[in-house]
Amino acid sequence: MLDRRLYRTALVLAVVGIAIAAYLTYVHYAGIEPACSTGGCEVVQTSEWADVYGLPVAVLGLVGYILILVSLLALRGDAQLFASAALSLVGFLYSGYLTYQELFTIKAICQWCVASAVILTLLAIVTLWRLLASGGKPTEAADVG
Amino acid sequence: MSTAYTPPNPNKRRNVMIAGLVTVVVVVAAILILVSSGDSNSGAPAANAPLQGLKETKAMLDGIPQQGNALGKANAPVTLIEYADYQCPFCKQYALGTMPVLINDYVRTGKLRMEFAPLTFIGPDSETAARAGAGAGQQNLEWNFTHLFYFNQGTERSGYVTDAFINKLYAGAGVDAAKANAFRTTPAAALPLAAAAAGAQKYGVASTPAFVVGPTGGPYTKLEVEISNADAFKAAFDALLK
Repeated sequence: MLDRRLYRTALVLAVVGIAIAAYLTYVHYAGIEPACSTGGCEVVQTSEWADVYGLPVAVLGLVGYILILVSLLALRGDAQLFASAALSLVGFLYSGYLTYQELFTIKAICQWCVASAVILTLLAIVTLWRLLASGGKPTEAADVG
Repeated sequence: MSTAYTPPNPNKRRNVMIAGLVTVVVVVAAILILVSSGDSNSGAPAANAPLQGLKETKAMLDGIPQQGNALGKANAPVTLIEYADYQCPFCKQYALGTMPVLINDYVRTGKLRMEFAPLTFIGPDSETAARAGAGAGQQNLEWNFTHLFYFNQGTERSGYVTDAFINKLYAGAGVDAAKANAFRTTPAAALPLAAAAAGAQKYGVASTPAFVVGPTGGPYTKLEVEISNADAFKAAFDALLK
């Protein structure tokens, strides 16, 4: 029961993450300003941490969230638990680094980036919880997906 | 003497797998972080570091007339206005990558003039730099100063745009530093900044660098192009030159 709840929570978080990353990707390529109540989105989006060798971080995030969703939907058992936890943890650590740069180097807050960092943190907690709680037992969510 | 068979402990095996997962995660995240910071500057350019881009700036601009913030012949039929922030890394990318090609092919041949409109949204260093650019513009050397600035750009908001940094750029650009420094703190030095901000608002500039283009004197329209795509810029100029 708990695993099923955690699984569904992870699914919802991944979908919300995809929506945010897709919006930021669209904004980037359309050359328009993101809706921003913190006033720092433009500064963050044009900073040197906004891309990795030309690839916008928003695209990287979109790919990451899609991989997390695919790992939840397409894999079963341990493969699902390990893949979703690994992807979420990588995302969590990387978004933590970007949030650090936002707060202490760029000194500007982008609400969308913060929202994405929160989602990746929650995803890391949920997927890691599932992995540790399963103890090698088959996941209940195997029947849900 | 025989020993009893002990089956492998599944919990132990799982713990090993989890430890492996954590290791892989940390390594992948570390690689991502290293790659991310690999294309950034480490902070303020060292005070005694040699000025970068002197030769390139000279080669790009020598022989082309300048008037304040404008580059090129005053009677060139087309004008491109660039809205940029001195601290913006994408503006540097455009300035060092695409812009020299456009200057060589269109400005040097008298078909195009360019105007530099400095925005200051990134922080106080942007305003300091923009005022310093206006000081160089008083001596019709703003483009030399600006191009050298981008060659030597540091990390945004790190406070690297000091008097020493500006004086070094002035020296490299051939600017009379005493005159430019006296000017850049006056209210007149803020006028180009205000004009750029007004223009940005008028044309709906949401990020930098942004461009408007049109027949010299106007009307101008926003040019939506990838900053690395010189051909897209050229197509827009050619359409106006027909």
